[in-house]
Amino acid sequence: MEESLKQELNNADLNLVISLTKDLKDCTERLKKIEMTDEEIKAFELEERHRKRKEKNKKDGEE
Amino acid sequence: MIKTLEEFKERVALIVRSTAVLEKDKERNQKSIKEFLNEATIYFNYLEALKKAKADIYRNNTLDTKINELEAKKQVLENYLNINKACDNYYDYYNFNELIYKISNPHTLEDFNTNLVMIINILKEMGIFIKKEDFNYSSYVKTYMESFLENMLNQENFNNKMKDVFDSVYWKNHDILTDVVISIKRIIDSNEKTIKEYISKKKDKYVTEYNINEAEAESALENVKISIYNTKNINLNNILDSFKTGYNLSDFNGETDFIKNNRSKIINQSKYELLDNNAKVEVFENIVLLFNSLYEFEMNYKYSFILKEAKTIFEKKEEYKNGLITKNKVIEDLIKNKDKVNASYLKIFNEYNKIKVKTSGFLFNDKKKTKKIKELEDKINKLNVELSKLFDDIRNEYKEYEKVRFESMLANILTDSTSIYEVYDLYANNYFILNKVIKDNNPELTNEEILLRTNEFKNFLDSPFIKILKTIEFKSEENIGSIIEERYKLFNFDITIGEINSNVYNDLKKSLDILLVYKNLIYSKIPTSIIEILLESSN
Repeated sequence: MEESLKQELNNADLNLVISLTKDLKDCTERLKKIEMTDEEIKAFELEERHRKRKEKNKKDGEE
Repeated sequence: MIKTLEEFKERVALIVRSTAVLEKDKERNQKSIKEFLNEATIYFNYLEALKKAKADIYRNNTLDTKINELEAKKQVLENYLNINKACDNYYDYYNFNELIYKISNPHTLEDFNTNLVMIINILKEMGIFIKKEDFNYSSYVKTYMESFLENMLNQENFNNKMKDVFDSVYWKNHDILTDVVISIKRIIDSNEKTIKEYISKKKDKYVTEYNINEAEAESALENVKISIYNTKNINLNNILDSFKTGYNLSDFNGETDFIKNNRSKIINQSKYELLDNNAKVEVFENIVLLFNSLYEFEMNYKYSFILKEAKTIFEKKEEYKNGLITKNKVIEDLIKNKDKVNASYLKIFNEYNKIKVKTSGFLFNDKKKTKKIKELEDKINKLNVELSKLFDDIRNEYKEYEKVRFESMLANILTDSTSIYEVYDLYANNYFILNKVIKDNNPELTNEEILLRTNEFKNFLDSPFIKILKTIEFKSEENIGSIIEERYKLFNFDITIGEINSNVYNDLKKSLDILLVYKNLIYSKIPTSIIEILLESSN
């Protein structure tokens, strides 16, 4: 974080600081909930590939 | 890079908006999620640290130092007032009463000995050096105390040694401890002049050492107590405690409906709004007084049995007035008689011993000797019975001594205009009597419960806000609740007190408590945002 921003935050109204902190706390908690691990991403990608292949096969079969 | 606060606010707003979007399709947005999470975490950690740093300024700036200084001032003034009162009544105000009570009601022999050492040390400090000859009251007392004085400086073996002595004496005299108490009481009484002179000199020295303004000491003490009360109330920890125990901080953030509703139970809201700022401040001050008036009301209700006893004594004051003089006379006559009988006993006992070992000369004749020995034994037995009865009589007279002393003092002090507070104060300063009156009122109480009550009663009398009980005569049958209602009408308060513990009463107390928390918060000048941070970090 930039020094000038730190300075401004230091002098800011405490209620504003509290309000920003609450927003950020809420965001980090929500983002943590939707963040996936590498294994989960790999599993998802695998599933996606399967799904796409299935779709392609289905489409090819229909044709 | 974000350089200004405005940009930062916008960035945080963007993160908030983006989070909602990202939540809708998390699988395909993991890269963005990680980036935003990383950024938000950096900001959050920084702001958290900033908040804590700001709160720490308040956390570290407590009023403890000020409170300690005030407590020290209070102690000096209390010590002075105590010594001053002890000049007239050293028994109650120089700790004798409490120590005598403790040796009269010991929990253990060690407890008895420890308190007796304390009495002996106090007397020593006064220049009264206790010697074994001071315990000629009875041969058993002398045996016990001779060993006591020899061993009291030997801390390691003192209690073991005294237990052996006690065991050896006890089987001959079950009342040995009672007799020691009687002896020590008599020593204290016989040194009245020395004790008074010592206390008077000590008072003069104290006044010089602490530069006490004697004429203003009492009002100075009251002011210091008020300062302590006010300072403690606005101390950070006290404020935090109020919100840890159930109150919601947001209800106290300014003139909220919550505050208005509770205040309207004390003073009409439209009336309040018409007041100027000074008058509004006065309302706050009067709320403190009203809260404390209710405390007076409750405590007077709880301890009214003390007044009942004082009234009974006052009604028969002529009977009680000379109680102590009469009792002292009876005791002195009994002691004189006991000493006389004891002298005869010793004389005959010596004669008896001499005759018993005689082997030649007058009375050597066996028949005559046996007759004489029988004669002397009969006399010894008779005197023994007589002595035993006299000791019992003395013990019985001393059993009620403190009660009679106090009743006699009350009968001489109480007048029609004595206030309720003055009566309570007399009881509170007599450890023996206060314990007794509380126990008599409820014989089921344990020693610990009695101690709790005596402390509660003394703490109550220590309050600088007692006003009503200082103005009402102790004989009065007036309803204190109505007096409070009338008194606070003068301050525009419109309240109904009701009976203690009724819904009306409890609601009023609850509202007052809320308004006091609000007042403390405002007077402390600690922003609610800081309180919020500190409460968060203490969870």
